[in-house]
Amino acid sequence: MNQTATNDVDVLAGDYYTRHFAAGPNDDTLILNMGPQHPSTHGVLRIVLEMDGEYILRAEPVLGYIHRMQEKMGENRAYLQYFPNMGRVDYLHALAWNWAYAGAVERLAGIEVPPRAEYLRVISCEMNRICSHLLWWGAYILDLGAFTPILYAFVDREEIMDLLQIITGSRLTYCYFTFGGVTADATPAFIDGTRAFIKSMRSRLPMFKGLVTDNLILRKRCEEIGVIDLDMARRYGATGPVLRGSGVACDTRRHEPYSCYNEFDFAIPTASTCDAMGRYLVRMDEISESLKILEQALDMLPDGPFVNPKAPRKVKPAAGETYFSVESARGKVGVYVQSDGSTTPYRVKLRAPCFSNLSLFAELSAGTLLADAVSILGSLDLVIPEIDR
Amino acid sequence: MIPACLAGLAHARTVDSATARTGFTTNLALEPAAVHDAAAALYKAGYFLECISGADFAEGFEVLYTFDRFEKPERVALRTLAPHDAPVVPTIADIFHGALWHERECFDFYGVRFEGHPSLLPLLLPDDMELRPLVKAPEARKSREAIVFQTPAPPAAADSAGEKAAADPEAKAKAKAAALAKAKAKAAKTASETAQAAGGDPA
Amino acid sequence: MATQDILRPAVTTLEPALVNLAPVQKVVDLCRAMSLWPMTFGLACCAIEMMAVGMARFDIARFGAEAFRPSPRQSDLMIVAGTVSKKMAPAVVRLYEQMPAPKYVMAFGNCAISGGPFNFEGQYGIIEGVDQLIPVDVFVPGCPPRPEGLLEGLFMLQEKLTGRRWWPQPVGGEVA
Repeated sequence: MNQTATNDVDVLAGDYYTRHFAAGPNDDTLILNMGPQHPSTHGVLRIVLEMDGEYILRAEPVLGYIHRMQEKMGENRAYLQYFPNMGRVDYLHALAWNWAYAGAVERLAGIEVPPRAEYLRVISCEMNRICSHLLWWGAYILDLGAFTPILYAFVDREEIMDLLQIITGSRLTYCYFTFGGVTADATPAFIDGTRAFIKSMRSRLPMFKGLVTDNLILRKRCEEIGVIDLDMARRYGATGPVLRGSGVACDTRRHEPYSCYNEFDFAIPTASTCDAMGRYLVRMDEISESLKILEQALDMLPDGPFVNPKAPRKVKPAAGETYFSVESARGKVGVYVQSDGSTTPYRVKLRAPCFSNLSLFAELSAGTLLADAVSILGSLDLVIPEIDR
Repeated sequence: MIPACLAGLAHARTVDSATARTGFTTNLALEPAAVHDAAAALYKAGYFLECISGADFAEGFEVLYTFDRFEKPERVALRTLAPHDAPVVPTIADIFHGALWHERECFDFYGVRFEGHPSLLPLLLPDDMELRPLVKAPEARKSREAIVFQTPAPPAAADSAGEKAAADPEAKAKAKAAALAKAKAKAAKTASETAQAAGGDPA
Repeated sequence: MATQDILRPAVTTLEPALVNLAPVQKVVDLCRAMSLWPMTFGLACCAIEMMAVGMARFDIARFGAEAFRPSPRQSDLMIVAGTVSKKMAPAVVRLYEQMPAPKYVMAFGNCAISGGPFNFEGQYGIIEGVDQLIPVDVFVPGCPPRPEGLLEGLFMLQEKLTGRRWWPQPVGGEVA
């Protein structure tokens, strides 16, 4: 079935993308494909590189290898049917995308969320954030060549996933939010387990710092690598830890507060070095800040319904448009929904933070070593299905 | 609310929208020719490019640009319309380099060509695919006026529709009668089936 | 300038064994089954559960399959974990052909079995099941399947190779 596709590959000039990248073979430089199957690209990302020895002269990511038609499905699904898709856009922080979509439709349809549901949303989303940062940390260190930290990271991740499984029913691609609240209440087992988890996670973080963050090899691999200045961030629309690692304290939870985040006391970590190490430190600090938010949310968790009893199951918002944005582990997620008054959206646009964050890779990696490019990619914290949607 | 940098923009039509509902502080509809200057003004004023997305309306393909600021929330939405038969919009990729990819994605999904874009290759779709997936069938397109420009006040609380039906006794009675009739017909059907089965049993 | 002679069709048959005796083959099959080396072919969400299987809690190393190789040349088992898009399909076929025989394929997750949640009317971009491209030996359903599901799939593959299941049935999960 795919023989016609492989016949289109000219062995020396490559396929469509390599042909557009470089006219033909060159005596001085090497055209190298990194991916789409590669252990360090965190998914099916392909980067076509022009190399001079170990140095990258030009790089161009090629996308679309996991394009799963999410925006087309948005137009084909009733509003409630689209939630499972949100879990699969960025499966590492599925609840952030759940939230962005729920928030957009609730705003369009005028559905209110009771206070307990808001707190449950915060608790589950922050736990998901810690889970995501732990996996990022383990995978990043794995890319740089160390196998042990990911084993530690997954131990904590399994703890979080067991807790979230109590209330959501899933381990990974959560579909916990619904219009007007969440789908299940927090049980005493969940609350006690989360309190115990906060304690245990706090006791693990110093070990991570001593074992990994202060490690000389990591510092050499991350410091002064991939320097992103403010102008570059603005031109490409970089958000999240990629932006905060360059000194800009812009976090959607403070910038455009949604839900009850205004009631919590937490800091926005930033780093002024603008390099991969800065982004690394920002994410590690964000784990501590998320634990703080979790603690406060559990203490302040109000009683009441976990979902608005008057929220309709068949949502039919009045015609209009809305853009709702939340902070995911990767940056500013935006869900833009246009409604024409029917039971399916007219248009759903998913603004993925990784899309904008990766678009600066071509400019950022010119002139770096290939090993440093791997470090840069890891520091951007990419989830490719979010880029391809 | 139009930021100072965009004041005096040619042919701008302000979308009078309730910002609490749309999330846009500024919502302007421009001619395609004005987009490049607007983007340049926003770049100079310190905005960042958040997103470029397309939509397919009866009037044409709409390209929506959203910009925001890092220091304070101020989402500026610029929208422009390109006709279905010749969708061409000038690029802003020379000012905001992030647009290089956003515009390629728009081209993938809608076929909108961005004039001046250095390499308008397919980004997400296979290179041999000719289908423009998000282009709607002509009969499924709705008017931009209803969705974008006329943004009514948010609807009352979700149960208002139910309350309305309850308040309308005629509709309620009709619905009840219809449900009763349906139930009767179903009961009659099952009764006749059991009678047949009983009749068909050998004595 | 460029010729297609460099790319030859893949040979996927095993050479006949040097010592072709049934008891020897049984031992060889057992050794193969207990040291299957998977290829890291995580495409999407299911890849995370595949990673979880390699980690300390579920520990696929107990069953011999901990050496995840990035290169198809060094692996026996291709775990297709995630959605195969039409753009990726030629790469999947090429990687399968690069694996030396005997080779096995596990379709892990609903997307690899049938396209999963992305198999909707009007879909234009995915392959509805990786078995449309390459022969699959074991299917593990789920979205994503639990890591225990991957382990059970591995046990079924081992059963396919050796003729019997080697590990205890999970309590409550006995197959009739």
